[in-house]
Amino acid sequence: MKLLIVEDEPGLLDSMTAYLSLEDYTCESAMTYAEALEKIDLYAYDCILLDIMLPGGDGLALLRELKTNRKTEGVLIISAKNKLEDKITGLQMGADDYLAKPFHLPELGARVAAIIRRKQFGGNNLLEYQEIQVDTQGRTVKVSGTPVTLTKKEYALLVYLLSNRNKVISKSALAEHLWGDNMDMVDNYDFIYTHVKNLRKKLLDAGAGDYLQSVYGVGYKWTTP
Amino acid sequence: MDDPMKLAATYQRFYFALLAVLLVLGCLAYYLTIRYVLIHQVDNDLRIEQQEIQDFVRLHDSLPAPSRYRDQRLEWAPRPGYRERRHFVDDDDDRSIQFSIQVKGEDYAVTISKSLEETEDLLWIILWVTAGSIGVLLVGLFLGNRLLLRRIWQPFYQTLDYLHRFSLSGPRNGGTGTSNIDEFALLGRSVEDMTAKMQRDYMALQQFTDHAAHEMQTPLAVIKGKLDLMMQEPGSGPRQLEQMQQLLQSVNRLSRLNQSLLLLTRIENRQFIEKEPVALEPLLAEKQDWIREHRLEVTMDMEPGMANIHPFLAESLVNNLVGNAVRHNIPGGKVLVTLRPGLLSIRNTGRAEPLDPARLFQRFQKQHPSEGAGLGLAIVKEIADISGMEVRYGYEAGTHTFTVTF
Repeated sequence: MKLLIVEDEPGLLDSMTAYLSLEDYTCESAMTYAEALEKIDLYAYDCILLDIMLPGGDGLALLRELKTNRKTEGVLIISAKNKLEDKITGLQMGADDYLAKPFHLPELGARVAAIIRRKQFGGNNLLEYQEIQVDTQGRTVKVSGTPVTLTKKEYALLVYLLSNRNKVISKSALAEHLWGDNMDMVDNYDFIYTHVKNLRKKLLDAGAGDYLQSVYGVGYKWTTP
Repeated sequence: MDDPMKLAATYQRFYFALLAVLLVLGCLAYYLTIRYVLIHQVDNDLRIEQQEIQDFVRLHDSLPAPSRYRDQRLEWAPRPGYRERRHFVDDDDDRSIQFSIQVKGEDYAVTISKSLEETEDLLWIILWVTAGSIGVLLVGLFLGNRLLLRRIWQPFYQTLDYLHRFSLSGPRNGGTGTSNIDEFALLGRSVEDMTAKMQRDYMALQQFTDHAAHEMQTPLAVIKGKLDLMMQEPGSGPRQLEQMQQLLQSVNRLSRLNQSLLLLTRIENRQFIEKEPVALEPLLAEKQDWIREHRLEVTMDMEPGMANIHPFLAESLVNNLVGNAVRHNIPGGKVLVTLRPGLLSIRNTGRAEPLDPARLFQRFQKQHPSEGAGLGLAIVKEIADISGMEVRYGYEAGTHTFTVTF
């Protein structure tokens, strides 16, 4: 799986590359408009992460370039927060998703995974982990073939964790994912614990292994013990 | 321009009142002068008549017979011991001269009268002609002045109109009045320069806000990313991980503060003035779970209601009001949401003392320690103001209520 990260801030580029490389992604990077344009012309990528505020050219122009050349890469637009216009324009121009800075890396991981799933399997795709099978198209979960009924939040939590396996996911990142950062105004994460507890119980009851581990003081980690 | 002649009218009123007073005084002085001159003329005639009588007596040693000729009358009567060289008498319509004369050793009193009727007539004719001329002059002046003022002040009103239609963020339409009058031309130019500068400064300010936000978000994004990444390091112990989580919380708080300030600036810059009917019911309904997750009891009593507001602001308004009701609640407390056409009220249990309504909606006013930055209600107020809504606070027995009417 090959990604191109177009980001002009070295600190952020570095983190994104490092985090996504922990998954089995091959990450290439570009820090300017020209560099990105050159790489897009030369190579094929599964997903392009595009910061639309770039030195030496508008990221949206790059997106236009991609779309006019009928490239099939998935595109995730990244931009400064509160730029409602950027989001709307970007999505109208054919980007697959939009992420506002500052974001949590697990959120980025989940978004990239979702784009690649959609692109690769023609929209009909499965997210699998051992005996757990999630159909992200039909939004159904099965453990060893037996359907498990989850609430909306539990389902979102499961997909998020499965997209960021073997990673420590902070409560902040989980809260932001479940409720959006608008509602992350009360620093009380007890509600996450409730959802996690219910999800784990439902999966264990259906016969799945105990993959959802809590990391003391921080959050959770999806891993095989 | 509902009343284009306001300034000119004020000026005209004063100007013509003064002119009228001066003209009346002038007329009076004119009348008295003319009258004096005319009477003096009559007196001269009477003196000549006296001379003629005296010449006649000297020649004939007798008085001419009393006579009445046209407007002149001669009368005499013997009056022993009467001595008078010359004495003028003013009657109703006559001017008379009286004097004594000796005829054959006897004293006579002679009176020559002249009717003033003709003089008065003349005086009135002169007066009427003068008054007429003054009237014509006044009307002419009034009309001329009006026309002139209107023409002269035209650029001024054009400039006023330009200023009236001027909007900081909008395009500059029309122009100030051009004029060959130095002051007005200068005014027009100054106004145009000033508004252009204001718009430039405003643009610069907006760019500054945008850049400041971007510049602040990038380091925040870097910190956030590095912390997420550090958590993946295999060597981190529980203590380090806990501290990283605390750092993340602080970064998120800083990032929310940045966004709140940005939002306030953008509302003030009128970036969200386009309104459309927004259904508040679904926005509120989707907060139910979130409120329950904070272990609060929530009741929503809603009738479908549309508010005329920018959709983004509607969301922000609901988020801040609901967030406020949760943040300032007590463990096991309640949140009651009521939605009626034109009214949204959010009621929550909380501290058993009312908040100070004067400081409630001000920025960074935290009346009790809480996790928020103290911007939520300031945002609510700004949103209400720009959307033509009204927000009120009420307190009753441990229940705080925020009511928005729209």
